[in-house]
Amino acid sequence: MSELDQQFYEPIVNMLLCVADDKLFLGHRNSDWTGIAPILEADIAFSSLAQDDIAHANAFYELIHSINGQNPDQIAFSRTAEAYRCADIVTMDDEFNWANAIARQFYCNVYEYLQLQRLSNATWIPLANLATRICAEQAIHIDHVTTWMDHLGNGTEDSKARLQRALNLYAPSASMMFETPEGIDLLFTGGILINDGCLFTAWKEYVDNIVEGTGLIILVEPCEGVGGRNGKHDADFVHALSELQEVFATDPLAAW
Amino acid sequence: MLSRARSNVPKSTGDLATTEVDGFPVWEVFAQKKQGAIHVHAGSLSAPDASMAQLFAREHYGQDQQCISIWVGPRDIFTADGGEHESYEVFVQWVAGYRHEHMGEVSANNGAEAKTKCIEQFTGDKDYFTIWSAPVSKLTKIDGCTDMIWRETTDQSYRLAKGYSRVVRKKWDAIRAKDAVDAYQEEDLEDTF
Amino acid sequence: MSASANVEVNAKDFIEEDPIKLAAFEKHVAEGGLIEPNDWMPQAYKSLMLRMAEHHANSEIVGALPEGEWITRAPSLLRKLALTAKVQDEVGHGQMLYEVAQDLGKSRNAMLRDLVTGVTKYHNCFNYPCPTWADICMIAWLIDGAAILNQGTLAHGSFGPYIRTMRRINMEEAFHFKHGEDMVLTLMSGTDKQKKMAQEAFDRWWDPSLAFFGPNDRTDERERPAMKWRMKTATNDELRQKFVNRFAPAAMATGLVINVCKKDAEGNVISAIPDPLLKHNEETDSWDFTQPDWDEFFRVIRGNGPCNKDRLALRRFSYEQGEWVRRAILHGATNAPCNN
Repeated sequence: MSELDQQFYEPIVNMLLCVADDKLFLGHRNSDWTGIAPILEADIAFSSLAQDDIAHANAFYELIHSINGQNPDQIAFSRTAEAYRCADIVTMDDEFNWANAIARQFYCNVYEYLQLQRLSNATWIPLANLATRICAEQAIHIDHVTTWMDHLGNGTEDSKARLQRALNLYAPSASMMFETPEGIDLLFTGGILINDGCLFTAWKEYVDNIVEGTGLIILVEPCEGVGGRNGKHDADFVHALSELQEVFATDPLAAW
Repeated sequence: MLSRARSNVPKSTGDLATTEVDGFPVWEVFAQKKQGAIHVHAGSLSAPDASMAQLFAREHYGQDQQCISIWVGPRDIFTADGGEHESYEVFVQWVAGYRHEHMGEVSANNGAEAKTKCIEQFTGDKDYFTIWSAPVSKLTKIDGCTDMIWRETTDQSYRLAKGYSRVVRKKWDAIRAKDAVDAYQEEDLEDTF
Repeated sequence: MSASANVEVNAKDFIEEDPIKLAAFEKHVAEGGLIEPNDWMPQAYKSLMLRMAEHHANSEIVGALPEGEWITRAPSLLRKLALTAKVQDEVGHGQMLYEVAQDLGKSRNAMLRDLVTGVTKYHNCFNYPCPTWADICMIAWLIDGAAILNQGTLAHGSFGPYIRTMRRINMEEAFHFKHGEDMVLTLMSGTDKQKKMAQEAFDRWWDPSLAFFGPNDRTDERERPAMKWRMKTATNDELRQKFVNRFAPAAMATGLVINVCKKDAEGNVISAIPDPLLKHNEETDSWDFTQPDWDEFFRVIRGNGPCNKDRLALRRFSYEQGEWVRRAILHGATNAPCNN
């Protein structure tokens, strides 16, 4: 269907914010690597992915705009911390440690890819179309991170150890990607979204498959507790948000 | 304030803490802009192997210019005289300063012969500057139909001069006389705007 | 995004060359001919070209750092995208220029190590602080604008690989510049606070833009190797005048005031007076202007400038922290020559 019933506005916007905010902050965090990465060519590639994420976030904010009329920049820049819906894995400080960056990328990119695939089957056509388009570009991200996991996982004993440490470090926050956003059940029962089985199970299978042969172990458990998807954010997120808003907040109504 | 990571960078001095890792081999990249166009040399890059070379080539040489196919190969395969009996792609740099262009495929026993055949079949009597040949078995070819190269859906104009030309012109016109703006914009590099 | 055409030849690079080959080379170059890597070239030319490319590459990747500081603070989605793309381009320029230099005989590793240990240099303008968002806007407009004027001429130089690289660099520079214009024009038609921030940033960057083209011309400029061998095709003063002729009236049209400024050792402006010399000279059809503070310029070069330590520290950190990665992927490299 192309017209969405009003009863679904709030839960759909909430769900779209989960997707968009994840992308915005992952792009935000990764764009900081531009100029710093270990190899010039890798720097260039990684920066493209960060730009993709911000552009994708913008596309989802545009979709929200089509529902509630809010300007995408305003949506992206002007909320208070509790109103953002990203999982805090996207804003964890990676300390410019490449193993951290790749491990986080790995967890997040696969999650986004599988989620976008599911959203491609939404019955609300504008969402299905957008998700299909973005999912096709997300394939580039999967290819990129798979190549890096393979090279570092099968590289030296040192690189494998560093990558395992990073995978372990990000495991608890990776669980929180699967926190249930408010209102999602209504979207399933209302037939807007198709419930395609447990996303966590699909994700775990996908990531385990990528690391097979490297000896790396993924220790991520299903989600427990309340976190970013329901507005409860940690200190790293708050810091990232204040970076994001620093100039914008000097005059939220000004054109930049 | 700076990002947390940038604020926490340690300031080391004295000798570098690392020993030198060997440099990566150099790869040459050819890109094809659209259907029917020829592959043209886009530049070179350093990478440890074909899969990284391919990844780097796509993002560095395939991103900005719309492109549907990329070929990547280690530098020495293009200039080598030796080789096996197989198919070779051949490339000609017509004039110093210009880029190598793909001419076609020849069958040869080695690189030297492939270059000779390139002259026979493609350059003929015409003056040329250099010829490269690459065995097909050693080239990595990435095809837009089977591999995503160009981001087809996300508008890339935010990273191109033409994405801003019109809006900037309008803003200048609002505050300066037309001939002042024309004179000012004369310095804009013609072929990029 | 910078000019390295003021890199000088080392006396030790002038060796005895075959006089016939040298004469042919110089004739070829003087007539507009191009040199490719396999052509014969005098040692001095090769060394100078290498050092130019290396200096230029260093400048690109160091230049990426101050602008990189503002990527996470860019105030709109478009600015986040565009600034990230600009800095990414600069890394790309560095990469391409290091390839040119490497082909002339110095490995990338050696060049990066020399950069981060202070052995080799980069363009002076990247030693200044960027305290506000408006500094990013001014850099993109003025410094990239200066670079375009400069690089337009470099693209007509004599060394093939460098020229090919310059063509691609110029295309991306054009985007940086247009986007810079967009940002400055937006600020100058914005709020009073934005205009003030823009003026203060302009005060910080006008002098470095003028100084960008290098010191005043020597009397024998055109006989020196860089011009004789067509590695640069216009003098510093010529380019500087061109820059002022273009940017002075444009800046004033936006409402900016062109001040003569004095700075402290940290690069902060401590006094700003409207340039008393600034006027359109009817006779020369050019703009008269006050030269940049050359004392400050040379002080910054000699003393390495307010931000040199921090920027090199970040570059060094990146290099040292990245070593395990380079080692790992080299070690794990698949020997397959291709992915067919």
